[in-house]
Amino acid sequence: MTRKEAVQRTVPAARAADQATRRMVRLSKRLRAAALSLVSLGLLSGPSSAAGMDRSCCWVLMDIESFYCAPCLEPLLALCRALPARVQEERIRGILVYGSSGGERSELRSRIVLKKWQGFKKAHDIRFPAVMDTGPFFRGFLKEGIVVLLVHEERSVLACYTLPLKSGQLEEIVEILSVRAEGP
Amino acid sequence: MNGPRWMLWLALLAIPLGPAPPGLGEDAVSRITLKEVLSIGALDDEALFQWTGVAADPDGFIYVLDAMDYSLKKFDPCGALVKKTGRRGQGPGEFMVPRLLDASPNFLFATDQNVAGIYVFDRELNFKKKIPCPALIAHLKALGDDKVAVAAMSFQGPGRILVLNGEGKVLSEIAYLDKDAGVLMDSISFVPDAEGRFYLAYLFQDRIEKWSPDGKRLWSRDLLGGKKTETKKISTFTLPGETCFKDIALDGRGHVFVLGGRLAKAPSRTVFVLNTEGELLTTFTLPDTSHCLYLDRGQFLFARANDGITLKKYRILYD
Repeated sequence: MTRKEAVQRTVPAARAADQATRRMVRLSKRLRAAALSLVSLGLLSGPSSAAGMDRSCCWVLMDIESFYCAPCLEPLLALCRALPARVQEERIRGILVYGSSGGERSELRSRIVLKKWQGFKKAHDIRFPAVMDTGPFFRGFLKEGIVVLLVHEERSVLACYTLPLKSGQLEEIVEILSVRAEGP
Repeated sequence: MNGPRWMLWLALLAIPLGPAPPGLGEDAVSRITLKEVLSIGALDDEALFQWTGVAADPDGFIYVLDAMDYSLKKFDPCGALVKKTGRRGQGPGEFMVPRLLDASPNFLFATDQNVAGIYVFDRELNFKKKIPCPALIAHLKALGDDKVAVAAMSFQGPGRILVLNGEGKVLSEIAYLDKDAGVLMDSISFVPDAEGRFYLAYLFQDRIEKWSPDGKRLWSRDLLGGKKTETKKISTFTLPGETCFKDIALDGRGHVFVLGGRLAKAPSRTVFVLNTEGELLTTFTLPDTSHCLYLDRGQFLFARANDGITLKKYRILYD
């Protein structure tokens, strides 16, 4: 491979990596603001803070419209099946978000969606809790489907995935959450 | 001499008192109101999470399919949960996307959205068998313990109602749309009457129709002033965007109830009431939006509330 060919191959990859990093930084800033809003309302807490444990967790952003379409939640089930109950309980928090379609926003609608979540959660033995995005603080994060954010305790985004996951991503999430949940 | 004349006058006087022709007499209703008699499922209980199909039996028991916990539930006439069956899966009595439900005197017929077949349960919710169907099912009505009618789902093909026996053999067929009207434009809800005639409501067309058992269209009419649903292009397909109608049902008095869709004055709440000849008698508005209407033999109407976590039962009051 000539030097020119090597440069031609490396530069686009480096640019893509740079863009991804910038995107993640932007995402982190917005996410921090959104998260702080929910935390200040007492609706969201970080992962269990047992001594010595890593302080990263997983936030699952779900469009409430998906609760009118049970099959739309299928990819979420695949994720949950792959994660042990303890990891779900300690490391995952669901956030129910009013999606791009908006729709009527009311306390009644929020309660209806939370009830549907309870039914779905019970039917599938899902262990992680979920709260409503009362803001809408997280609205901008949800373009389509369900979004999984791996977050550090300082509210910086480690990774962002859209369900259904691509090949290898499920294993990646499972590994990060499972290993870190074990602690040193 | 006086005797026969007297009898002739009596006979002439009796004519207006005799059985009313279709479209008159029992159809003279000018106003319908609803009185709520039962509500099942609230924000703080676990009765219903998102019900999709409902049916009632002659004893007043109510059966409901719930898509959020993949179950078939039986409630007593007071609304208390008596029994629940089903779970997520593709085995006997299991559901992936429970959707349609109807009841015959002794059995319940349920569908799963992506299964070409009908699950049969007895009234104690014991799974009995699966009736095979040549296509996915868009709508379902029980015609008896051993006979069902289904609207066969087609993506672009002709619209058909199939009458099946308990083994899945096609006994008869009504081709209500023989040309390609566009993707999903053949989607219907239907209801049979006691003589085997079918009333059809097109979901994406402003059309209500009546068909004879031998497949002849008896009448066709619009109720929304000929409104056309907007379409949107997804990939190479042009799909209808908004519903004209959502469901159609018959009461025991010869009235046809049609639930309007998104294009109705009160979306998913306006109910048009027609006589058997298709004449509009009156309209009324449901208290909450619903995806379906179910009328039982006792003049009760069942509809949705709270986006599917509540089932309401109303008594129909005719003026």
